[in-house]
Amino acid sequence: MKAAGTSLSASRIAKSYVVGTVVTQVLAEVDFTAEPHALTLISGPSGCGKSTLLAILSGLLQPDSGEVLSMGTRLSKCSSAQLDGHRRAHTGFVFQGFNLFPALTALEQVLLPLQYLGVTGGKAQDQARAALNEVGLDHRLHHRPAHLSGGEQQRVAIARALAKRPQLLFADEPTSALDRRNGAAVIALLHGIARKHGTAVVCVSHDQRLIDHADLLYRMEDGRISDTSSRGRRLSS
Amino acid sequence: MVALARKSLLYEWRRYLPAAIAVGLAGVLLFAQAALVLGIFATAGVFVRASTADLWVGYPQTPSVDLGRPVSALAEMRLRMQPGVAQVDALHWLDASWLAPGSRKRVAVVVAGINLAPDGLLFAHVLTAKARAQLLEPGAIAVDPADLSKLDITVGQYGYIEGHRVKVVGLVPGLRGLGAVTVIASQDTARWLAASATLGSNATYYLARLGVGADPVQARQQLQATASQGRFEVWTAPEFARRTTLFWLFDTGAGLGFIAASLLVFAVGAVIASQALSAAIAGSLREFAMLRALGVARKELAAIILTQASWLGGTGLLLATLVCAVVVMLARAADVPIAPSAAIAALCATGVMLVAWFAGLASLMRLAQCEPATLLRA
Repeated sequence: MKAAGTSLSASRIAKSYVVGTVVTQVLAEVDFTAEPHALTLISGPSGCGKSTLLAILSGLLQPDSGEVLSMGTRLSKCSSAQLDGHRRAHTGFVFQGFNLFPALTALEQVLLPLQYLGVTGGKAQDQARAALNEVGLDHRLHHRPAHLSGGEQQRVAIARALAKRPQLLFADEPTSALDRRNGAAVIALLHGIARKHGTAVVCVSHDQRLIDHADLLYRMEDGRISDTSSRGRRLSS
Repeated sequence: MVALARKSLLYEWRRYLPAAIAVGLAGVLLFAQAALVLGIFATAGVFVRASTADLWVGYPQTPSVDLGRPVSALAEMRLRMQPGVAQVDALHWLDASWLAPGSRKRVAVVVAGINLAPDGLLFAHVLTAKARAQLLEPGAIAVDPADLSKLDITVGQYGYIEGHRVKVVGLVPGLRGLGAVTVIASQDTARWLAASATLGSNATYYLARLGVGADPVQARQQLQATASQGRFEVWTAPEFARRTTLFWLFDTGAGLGFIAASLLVFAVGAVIASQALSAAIAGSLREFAMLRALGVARKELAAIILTQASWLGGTGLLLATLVCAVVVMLARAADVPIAPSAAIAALCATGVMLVAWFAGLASLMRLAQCEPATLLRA
């Protein structure tokens, strides 16, 4: 199951959904690579399949065909429990919705996934505080979501994903629910995480500001990669 | 450790309150029903419980104290011969009908003709010395205050039992039983009333008090061995009271009805609580899906939900305890027979926790909808 390779690569990914008797091809022949230290962006119009691609790349969904190699692990060969273990060990998520527990403070939101990783006590506290400090919320540790702004809540969600120091960070439309200022802050954070920690950040968005920050950009259309470009340079079409 | 289950219950108590109330309500209904059933059926054994006899001797296979038949006089002889027996009393039991003055409505009564001596064994706990003295008057009777309205009479007035004029000379709380109204009279008055009724010369029961140090169980065994050809049967007082309660509980339609109703309460409570808990959990599905995305296994999420269910059960138990205490106080104030006990409380507490855990298990089905991929925009 283990194989040598880059942080994340996918080849010839295909996925279709069946509703009644109608088969809808969502992804076809998709190849993808994400490198450490880089912010890789998947962009495209609504319904082009970019979120489905993110779900497959992150191990939340299995493709109909094709292969995903994530941190040296072939995801198609993994059982459900092994996928849980893989995500637990290597991946962090930031979603459009912040999905914070209303009852927990910012610090507890970050501590919670750490305790399921077996990180407890002082070490967990240190990691959680460091993550919250990195997103600029060290002064809001004991505030619950109801007392945090949308931007602050998204930053707590980023700290939650960041605290376990994942090699892969997946973000789905992380700025679409935020205003200009908070959106810019989140973009800078994601970029900084890739640079500072060597994380491969894979982001789905059609936010132009994010496109400008992307190290590698995949444009999608009708379930296929229509264009790939690195910062300021077109690679393929 | 981040105690997610407990913190969520405390912070979002409004969301979880309906589930806690549903669990608590199931507990209150279970407890009130069980305590009432046992209280009501215990009143069938009022003759046994309101007396100081250690042994009761009656007709063989008598299932309940109120279903006694005249017993062989041999029983009295055997009792008096039994070592350790300090006193023997007879209980004459007369099923009769009551007629209030100026009324045509007949009311079923049970006349208990008892030994009214100061050391009389029957109703020793409920009969005062004054009442005993009043009842020695020929034709004098006493009833429970709660039965006065049923008999349509007041103290000092005359009524008729089997056509004989009798006078209500006093009130004795604690006589109220199941079915017919209990009337206490002297043995002479009972025999006089029985002249035109069904009372034979034989007593319905013989009661015995044992001397200090005598073992009731051993005495019962020895006496039973002397019951030639099974002409009588001997029970210790607790045995006979229990036998009476169990007969009403398990061998009558009323008892089985109560048991069926209790099971129904349990089922309805469990369903309502599980719906309420499921609804509360549904509100956190996106957060649980987030944890799944981060690699938290389903069984770990199930543990959170079952912990929440346990806390809900505990909260429901606390609510139920408070309400049950009020229910017991109100019932006692209104003379409603209710018999709360530690055993019933323990049984109902177990029932409450089972309802909560059932609700938790039923809510786990919601976890099946907890797919992290649903958090991604399509």
